[in-house]
Amino acid sequence: MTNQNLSNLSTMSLGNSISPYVYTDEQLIALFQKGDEKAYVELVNRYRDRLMNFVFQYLGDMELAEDIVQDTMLKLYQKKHYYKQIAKFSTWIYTIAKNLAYTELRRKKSRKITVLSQMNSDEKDYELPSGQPETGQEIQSEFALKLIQAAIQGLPDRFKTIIILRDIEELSYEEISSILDVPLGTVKSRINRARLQLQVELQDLKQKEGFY
Amino acid sequence: MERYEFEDLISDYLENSLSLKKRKDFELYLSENPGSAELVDQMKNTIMQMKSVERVTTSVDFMDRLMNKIQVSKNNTRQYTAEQSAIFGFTPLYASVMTSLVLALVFVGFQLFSTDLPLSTSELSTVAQEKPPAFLDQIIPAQEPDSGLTAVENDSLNRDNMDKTNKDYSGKIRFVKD
Repeated sequence: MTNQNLSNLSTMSLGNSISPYVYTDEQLIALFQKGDEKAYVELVNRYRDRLMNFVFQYLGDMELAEDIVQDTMLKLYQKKHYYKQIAKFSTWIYTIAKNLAYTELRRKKSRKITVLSQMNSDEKDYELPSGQPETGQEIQSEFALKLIQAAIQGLPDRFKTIIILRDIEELSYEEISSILDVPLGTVKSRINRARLQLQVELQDLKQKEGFY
Repeated sequence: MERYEFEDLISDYLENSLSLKKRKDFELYLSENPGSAELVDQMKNTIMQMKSVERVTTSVDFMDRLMNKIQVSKNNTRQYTAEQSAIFGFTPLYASVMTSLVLALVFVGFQLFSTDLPLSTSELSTVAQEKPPAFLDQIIPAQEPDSGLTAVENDSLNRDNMDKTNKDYSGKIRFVKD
């Protein structure tokens, strides 16, 4: 950030009538680091749904995902001074959420081992959408989406994260590289392998569902 | 183009980031292998569908819950720091003031009530001049003052003299021509 930007930043305050949308994420976190809590609220509002979607796709559990996002925002509040302007704010916040989600998934897996033996083998992780009657085409596309979500859940962790970040969250390769802390080339090749693996998972699921 | 090369390039092809030459090779491979074209189409469709996955959002009370959590964490931090900095229930400032007062009281009390010990410097010098008790003479034998030191000094003087007298430089100095 240039000196001019920094001097502009020091004169800004969210308490004024200026819309908070004029601020970049990096400017908002700088304001928050100086004690402006309205900047924090604005950052939370900007990222709560994006992170919720990412964590939900990763964990497949709404309640858990919301708890993770809450913890992410709490960490943002408590560790605001850990953020340095050299990195993009979005990658920093996604990294926090990803780490918390990883930890939760590991905990969840260790719990699942004990529960699996008691589960009925016919139980499925996904269900057909219920509610209002829909047209055949809508049901089909909805079902395809559910299949994709189930296939994503079946991917190994390193593929799952990367495919969610790229194809659902639509982040750039550079952002993904920063979040996952892996080189750009690795990101590209891993995305390709994840997509190939997803096709295999989808074929398997379709076979199980009797598509073929 | 081999199969593995083709698979490595699918994403680049779909994202339109292949060089012209590689793109031509890729398309040639596709035309020669119909199964491969099907795989590319499937992947393309899946990517498109993933973009239309319904986005979930946080609940309505998300912000209230978050603010409560922040409040709880703030209170915990305050309590923790207060507990950390308290010394017997006093803040560091009060504790140091109290300690200084207690020490001052002890000192003043000592000055006022202790009459047995010498307090002035003249009294202290008198104590120093007093002859040591007789039993100490029996324990520590009488010794000549600085006798050891004198012996060492004499020894070092003699050594210097010896060095001076013993030094013989004859035959060691030579004149060198330029």
